[in-house]
Amino acid sequence: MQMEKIMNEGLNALALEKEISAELKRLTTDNIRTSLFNLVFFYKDKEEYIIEKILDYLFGKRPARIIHIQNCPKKNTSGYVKVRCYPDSEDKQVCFQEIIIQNGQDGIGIALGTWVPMLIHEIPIVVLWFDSLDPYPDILKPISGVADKMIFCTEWNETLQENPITVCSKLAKNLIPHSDFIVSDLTWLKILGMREAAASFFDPPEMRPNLQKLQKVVMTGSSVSEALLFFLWLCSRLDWKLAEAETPELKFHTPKNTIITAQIKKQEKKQVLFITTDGQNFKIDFKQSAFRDRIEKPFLCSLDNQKQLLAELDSLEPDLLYYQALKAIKDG
Amino acid sequence: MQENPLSEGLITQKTPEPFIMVIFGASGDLAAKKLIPALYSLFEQNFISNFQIVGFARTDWDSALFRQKIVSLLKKDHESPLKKEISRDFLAKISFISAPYDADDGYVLLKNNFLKFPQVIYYLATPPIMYEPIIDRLGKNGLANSKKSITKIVVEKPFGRDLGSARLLNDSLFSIFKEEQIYRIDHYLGKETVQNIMVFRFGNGIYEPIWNHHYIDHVQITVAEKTGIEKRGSYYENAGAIRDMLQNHLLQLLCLVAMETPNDLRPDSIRNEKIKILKAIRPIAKDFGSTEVIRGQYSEGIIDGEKVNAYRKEDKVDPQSTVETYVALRLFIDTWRWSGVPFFLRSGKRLARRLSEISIQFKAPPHLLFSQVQSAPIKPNTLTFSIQPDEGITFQFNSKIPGFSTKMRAVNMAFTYGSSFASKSPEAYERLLLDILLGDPTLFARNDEVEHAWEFVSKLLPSDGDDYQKNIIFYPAGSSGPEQAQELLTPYKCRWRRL
Repeated sequence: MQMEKIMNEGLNALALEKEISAELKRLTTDNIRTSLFNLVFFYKDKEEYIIEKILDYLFGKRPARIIHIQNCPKKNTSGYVKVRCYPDSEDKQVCFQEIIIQNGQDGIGIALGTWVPMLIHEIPIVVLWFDSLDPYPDILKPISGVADKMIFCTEWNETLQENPITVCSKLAKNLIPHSDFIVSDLTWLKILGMREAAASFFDPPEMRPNLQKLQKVVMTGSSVSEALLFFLWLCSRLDWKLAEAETPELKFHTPKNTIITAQIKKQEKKQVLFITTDGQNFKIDFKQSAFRDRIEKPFLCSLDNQKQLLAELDSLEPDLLYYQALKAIKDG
Repeated sequence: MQENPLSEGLITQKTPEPFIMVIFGASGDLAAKKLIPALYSLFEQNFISNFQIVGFARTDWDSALFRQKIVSLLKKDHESPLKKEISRDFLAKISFISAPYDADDGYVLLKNNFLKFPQVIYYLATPPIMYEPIIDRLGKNGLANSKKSITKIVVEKPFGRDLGSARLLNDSLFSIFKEEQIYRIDHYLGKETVQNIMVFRFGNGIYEPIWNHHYIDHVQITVAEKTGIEKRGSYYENAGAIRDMLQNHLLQLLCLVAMETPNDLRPDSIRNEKIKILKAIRPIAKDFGSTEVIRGQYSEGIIDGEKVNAYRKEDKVDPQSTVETYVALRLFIDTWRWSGVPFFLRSGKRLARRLSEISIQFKAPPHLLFSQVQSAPIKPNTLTFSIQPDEGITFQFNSKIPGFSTKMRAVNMAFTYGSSFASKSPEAYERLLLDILLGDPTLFARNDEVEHAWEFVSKLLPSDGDDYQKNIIFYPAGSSGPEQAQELLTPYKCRWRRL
């Protein structure tokens, strides 16, 4: 691995571009893989480790222009560049061209006019939001004009003391369903195995009618974000309407106007319990299910699932199920 | 039945039914170099988990020795280091039966001990001469159809030696299997770029309007190999380039380039369109063979700085052999779309470079505006699908050379899989084996497809003693093939693309 840092006091895109070119020339030969996409990370400077974790996975696999927008307590915004390369199996250099913007209290670093000129034109732009949403309730709108995709992680916002219900509501309100701009949530991806397990559990024809008789759903062993998204998925698939949402309990109306309670309980065991109106209990123990490989991801936002993360960065296809799940909270 | 609303929209990875794969010819090259590594890779990537592989061959090996051979093979060829647990689990699923193909013993053993899976696949990786005895014994021993399992048979190319033998082989298969059980494999169709031809043509709006005789000058399809016949002298003496490459790979590529838009992506919709092309190829009369078809054979030459033998000096090759190791031809497709557009196809062994590509050359602009300022001829636009060694697509167009004059030269817009997706495409055999296991026949040839291909190709096959048979042109190993092949293109004022 080769790495170099150059300090630069200004944030002039052209000057930074020159510095990146110079570094690339110094570190490598001409045998460099073309960048596949721009990644723009928003995060608090003290949380840099989570971004490094993502970049560790990507390093050597995807050449990219990476812009870090670190929220710092300092007064003035500043920036610097960093280039690191790794040779792939064909001995071509797979490089990260990074621009680190330390956004100060002046707010210059976060402004579109600062970082948009630093993007490589004509390749996809993916924004990864690992910052609080509270100060930026309408962030989707400006970013939808410059980026192809924005990735959140509700679970991460939960660790930043933001209520997942509020986070999802904000996203839902600002979502533009039929535009080219894609929104995704790593927590939604993380619960894919749980959704598959539930779908598979109710797949036998004799089990399907029970879905219409549900009275209560209790989820344990999951974060609030995971459980919330799971319930919103059930809500959108089963045509329920969200009536009340107050952690740790949500209430839904069914098409027959009965009420379904969904509870989130803190317990070790990762499972979901479905209780029907005729008193039947159906329990799915996720660690025993056929989809356990995709469920047992202890780390936040499933970031230890390298393949899933890569697939998410490569894909420019919206997940309509996710949009429908968010719509459930918007309509509620 | 009531729907399951929870499963809607969940695209889960399809998992094959548990299966047993019996590989006939398991001690041979194909099994060692392609099948076993592909199965291992599918296992490593979790595409398959519940299965058994049974090697079946005349070679005097037992299961332990077969496993040992597999380990050393995987150690040598597998891209990443073998993971101890994975290779141990994989090897535990492997057995070997040493038995003749044309006696019942091995089949009885197979029936009594192994066929306990809901899916049974017989893979014919033997020399073609053994196909019929194996099919026959599978039928006689009641192994072809079972109420408890789905049975499939995979047949490797060459599928027959000519139209007659292809029909006989089809008849033999149909006496025991149904068409939907038969998978005729052409590994070229498993390659990413080949599959991308359809996506490129029908998934983009700008190409179909110009994909016809109004805009396309000609099409070249090249499958060039640097290697010789290796240890396959006795096979090649009975095959030659026409049977080995033209009948299958080249004509399949031609179909994908020339076919009309299928109504949908169902296997038969695609195959029906391919057959229309095969039926529309203008037959080449044998009398015209020498002007429409060039057959060549490599003589001694230099490859990679080393002297290599002439074909006639290869092991198990007749010193007077007139078998072609190179074929080039010009053909026309008699349809409205392709009226008057020549298609030039070539394939050969011991050529200068390993290269497979399809190149679409567009017509020159109607008014040569820049001929007044440019003395050199303006290069026509060319769209090239590279299949190997590097898979990708290149479009060549003319651009102004920077400066004060209006000189121009050809430049490339290039797309390569590696640089755009940064992930390796699956090996062709991995894709095709998984399709067989999942029961998707789209990338396999149907019986009528094979027969129509033979119908065209059979007329090009030389027979003993005829002049056409004697009319073989020698080319030095390491060259671009016989110079006379250029004559196929000269009347159309074009040249073969450089190898």
